[in-house]
Amino acid sequence: MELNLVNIDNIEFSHSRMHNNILLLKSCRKGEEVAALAQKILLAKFHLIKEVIGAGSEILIKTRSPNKVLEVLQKYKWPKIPVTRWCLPIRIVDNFDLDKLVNFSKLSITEISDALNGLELRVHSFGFIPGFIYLSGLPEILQIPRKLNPGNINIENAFALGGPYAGVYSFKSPGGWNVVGQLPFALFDFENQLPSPISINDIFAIDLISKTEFKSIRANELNFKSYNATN
Amino acid sequence: MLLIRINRGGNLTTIQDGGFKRMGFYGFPQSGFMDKHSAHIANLLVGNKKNTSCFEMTLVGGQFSFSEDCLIGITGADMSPMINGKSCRMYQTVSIKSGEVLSFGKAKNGLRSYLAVGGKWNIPKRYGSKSSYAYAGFGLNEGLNLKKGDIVEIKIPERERTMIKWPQQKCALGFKTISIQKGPEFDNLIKPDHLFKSFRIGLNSNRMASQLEGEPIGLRQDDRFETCVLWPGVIQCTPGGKLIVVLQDGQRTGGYPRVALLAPKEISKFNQISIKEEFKFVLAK
Repeated sequence: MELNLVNIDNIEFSHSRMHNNILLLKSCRKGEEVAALAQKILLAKFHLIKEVIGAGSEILIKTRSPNKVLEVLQKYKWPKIPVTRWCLPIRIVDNFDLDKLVNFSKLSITEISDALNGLELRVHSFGFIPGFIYLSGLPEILQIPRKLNPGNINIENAFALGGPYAGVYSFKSPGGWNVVGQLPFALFDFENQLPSPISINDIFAIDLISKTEFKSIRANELNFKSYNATN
Repeated sequence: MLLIRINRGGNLTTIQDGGFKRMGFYGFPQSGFMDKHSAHIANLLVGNKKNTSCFEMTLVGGQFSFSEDCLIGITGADMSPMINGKSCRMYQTVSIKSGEVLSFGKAKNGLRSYLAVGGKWNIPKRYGSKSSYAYAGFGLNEGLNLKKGDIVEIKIPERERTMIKWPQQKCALGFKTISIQKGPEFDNLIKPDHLFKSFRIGLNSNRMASQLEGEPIGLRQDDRFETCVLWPGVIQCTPGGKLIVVLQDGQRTGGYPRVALLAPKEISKFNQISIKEEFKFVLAK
């Protein structure tokens, strides 16, 4: 079998062409490293590249000139993306799946709150619906599996747990994760254009807030950026 | 300014265009026309750029009234279009007079019909697209089926337009075979021949994905297989042997093996196959 290997930003990929406009890169490495490179490719705004998606150990590139793109990507001087530390205010909500987490973890609500408060999670990838963010670094005791039958996530900006990841829903939608909290604002701004200020590998430090604090952040119309600028 | 008033939405009538631009990384679907081929022709008929917004109707069309004279083009599935009760031709430029009512019925062949209107559609763009996307609530009526009373504003160009007739046989309808290529996980199939038996489009199909009905397909367990990228046209096989075709509003990542792929041109044909209609896949040369 012919192995087409390329080296992009010190990651080795095999590549194959799907149809005449899709280039699929596959690496032995996975997770944040590959997703971070996908984001760098996106932000470099190569005019030949129409779409970039990263998942697991793969990067998909939509382009009409795959050979040229491979050449450009290998030669490009890739910048180091600085890691930003963000504060993630979350209000615990008890009317969704918190009881399931209590059963699963055998912890009390207070102990769950203690485990979450100050917890540092890492941006792993963006995901399965627009603006959804996967966060890694959840302690094993909180790694409650996703629901077998997805239900409806009926609150905005839900903070939810599913297997090894925590995630933030960008809007109400069907979903199989366990909702245990809510953010006072969206992490992904649907009104404004991109790029998102959030990079793969950024750190989100959870700051548990009360209902009053939650309401005050909303009343002051703070968003993710302005809240972090003032905290 | 032309105002198009929706009198009746039909089964699923939305506004679509070329789709989101460079948003896949953030989990956005490609979105846009399900049958790009037909939509592009509709736009060409009225002098628009090919990715200008169109009404996309599914299975049963809607009813529209027009406040000004304008040019329209109808392509795709034949939903027996009528202007004020008189049959209206498809695949050619048609002029509509102020106050006239355009109605569509049930698709006689195909599944999706496109209505293009010459001019600039006054709809806010989100991430490079004016497409309706119900999942995120984007677009007129939050991306859902257009409802009675919804209004679309279109700025009609001043200059004269030529009337065009399109050779209709070039449309994407009536194909009972869809050509596919091997997907990255094709080798996970125990009996690849099973891909080439008959299938039907399942009831559980929408703009995100088509679930196919047919004999279950044997799939080898592959524990190393994990999350992978998806794009419109990918055919996934579930552990239960069911085929799912990822479509325009589909997810960008998934966990099922990608056993086959529809070539971009085949997606337009595939998306015109009606619910429960039978078809076969053939391997592209």
